[in-house]
Amino acid sequence: MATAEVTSTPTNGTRTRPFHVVLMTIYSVENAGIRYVSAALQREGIETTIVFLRDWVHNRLTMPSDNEFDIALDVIRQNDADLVGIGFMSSLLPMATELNHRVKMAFPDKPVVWGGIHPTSTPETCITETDFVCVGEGEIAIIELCKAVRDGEQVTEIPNIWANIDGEIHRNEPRPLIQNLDWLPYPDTADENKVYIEKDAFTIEEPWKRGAEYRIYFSRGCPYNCSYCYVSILRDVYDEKGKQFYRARSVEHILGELEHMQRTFPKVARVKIDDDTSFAFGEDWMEEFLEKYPNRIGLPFECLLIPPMMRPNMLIKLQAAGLVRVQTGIESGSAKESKEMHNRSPGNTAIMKFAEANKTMGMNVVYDVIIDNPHATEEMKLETAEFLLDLPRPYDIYFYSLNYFPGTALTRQGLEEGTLDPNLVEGANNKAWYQFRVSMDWPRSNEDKFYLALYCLASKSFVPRDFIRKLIDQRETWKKNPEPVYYLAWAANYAKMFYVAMRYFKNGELTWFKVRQYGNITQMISQ
Amino acid sequence: MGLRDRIKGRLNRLRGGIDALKDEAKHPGRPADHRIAGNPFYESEADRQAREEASSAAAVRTAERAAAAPSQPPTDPEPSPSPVTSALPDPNVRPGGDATDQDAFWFLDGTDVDDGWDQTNPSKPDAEE
Repeated sequence: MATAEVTSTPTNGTRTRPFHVVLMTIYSVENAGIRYVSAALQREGIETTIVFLRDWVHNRLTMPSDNEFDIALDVIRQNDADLVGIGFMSSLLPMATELNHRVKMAFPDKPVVWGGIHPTSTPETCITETDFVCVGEGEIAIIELCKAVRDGEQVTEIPNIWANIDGEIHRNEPRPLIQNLDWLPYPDTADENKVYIEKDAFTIEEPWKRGAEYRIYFSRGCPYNCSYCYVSILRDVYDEKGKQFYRARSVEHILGELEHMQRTFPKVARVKIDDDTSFAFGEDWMEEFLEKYPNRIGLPFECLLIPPMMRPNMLIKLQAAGLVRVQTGIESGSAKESKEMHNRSPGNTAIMKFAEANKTMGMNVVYDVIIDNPHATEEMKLETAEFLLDLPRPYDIYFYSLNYFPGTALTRQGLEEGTLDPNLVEGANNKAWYQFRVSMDWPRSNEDKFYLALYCLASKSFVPRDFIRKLIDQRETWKKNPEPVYYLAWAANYAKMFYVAMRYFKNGELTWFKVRQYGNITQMISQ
Repeated sequence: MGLRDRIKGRLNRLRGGIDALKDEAKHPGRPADHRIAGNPFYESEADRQAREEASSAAAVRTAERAAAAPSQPPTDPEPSPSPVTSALPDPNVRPGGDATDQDAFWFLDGTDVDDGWDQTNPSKPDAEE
């Protein structure tokens, strides 16, 4: 734990170089928060290095090797780091704890701060494992912590920062959320200070550049407060301070970041606006964006939209500005499940109209659907199947297996009512290691297998809808013995993938080189 | 390399391709967008080019770092080109006043929306005004 002194040891009198922070994240190369923190520190003259410890493609999350941990420790040693930050999600708690342990064993005097959504949701348990925990938005808090450590000032009264001083816990309320997001720097995406560790080796690179997509956030927060989502954690943490929870950057600030990106990401071909909800902004904001984006950036973009607020006229304008693909959350086709379990406004009518508008415009659409909800009734699952069947094709689905993350409204409610086994909460559980991307071979009840099969079939344009409706009519039979339907859905996935492969082949893109490159599936984890 | 080895090599690659197909078919939905790099069924040509260029640039950068001074700390990056600290806005002042979330988000009022589809959003539908 941190030094017994309430104030830290001053380092400014002896240092001949800037304060240096090594930030680490595990299985999360897409982590934007750590890049924002890094950039905010750099703006204050504090040096940073970011370590990305492994990436994943499918559900293959295993503990990093000794050698990989040692590489991470070497980064701390080579930079003579003054502070180490570890950011992680709940499911990765065992790995973060192991990393923390190894850092403290190797460098007992270097303070370690944990941040990210897991420490934010469970600071009481996290603070017993480490020196500091950052709760909530971290940019300003970490700057203050670094300056306090550097200058030997109080480290026990910094808003957002919980401190463990020789076992004595100092808890501090979070400061209000950043209201003007234009204060934020652009995320740190330089190559030189990034260390990407994979397969017992490392490279010096910004892993975001390993794709043609640039992910950007126009806003923070979300108008919704879905019970299963991290947003419900943050709304709880911020309470009244989070009243103005959903905040947008100015158009100029966003375009500035994108112009910087175009200079530094040579191969970017599209932009993904990765807000939980995009474009729920005012009319003036929208008009300014629609006018400036095509001229100054001009790249195709994708985003998540809310059907109840999105109208064809605006969709047409967005398409003209470059929108090529839309993602939207259905989650459940059941109004009861949406309202009573997910705390979402029922929106099937709006989603259907939205889908028809997208179909007319030829927009590529993908819907989010949540499965594996142990409290969903069969009627709810049936309503979802019927709604998916009614949606205009073609469309894709992102399936999400319901996980209980600590601190979400859903988890809190389940624990309070005694309907949720605490061992099923991520952190104690690690289901997300295996179902980050839903797979067909995860153990499910016969009923869940049957309905997942129906959802899969419903989204395949080549499977006749009448056939699926017949399966629904005969559901009492198939639920008892779902394997034929389940394997049919699996076969439909094969057929779709085979079709994709043949399309590549026809276009001359399926070369032996490509097959060889991708053939060894373990190589797909990091290429 | 003999004919037998070539046939064997091609069969192995084919088996690898089939393994990739099997693995992808096991997953009923799309991968998340940021997970398509390296996935033969979703990665576009632009993604592939970006990945290959990033990989080779990273290899060169890493080798140069190792050859130059393996025990020295890495070069500091250029700070992100954001406004200088003195020109920054006050992070605590919300631009555009202090309306609460709920004021702006009429679509969260718990009802399904069936009208106003000829309007340009995000204006409130007539029925709600």
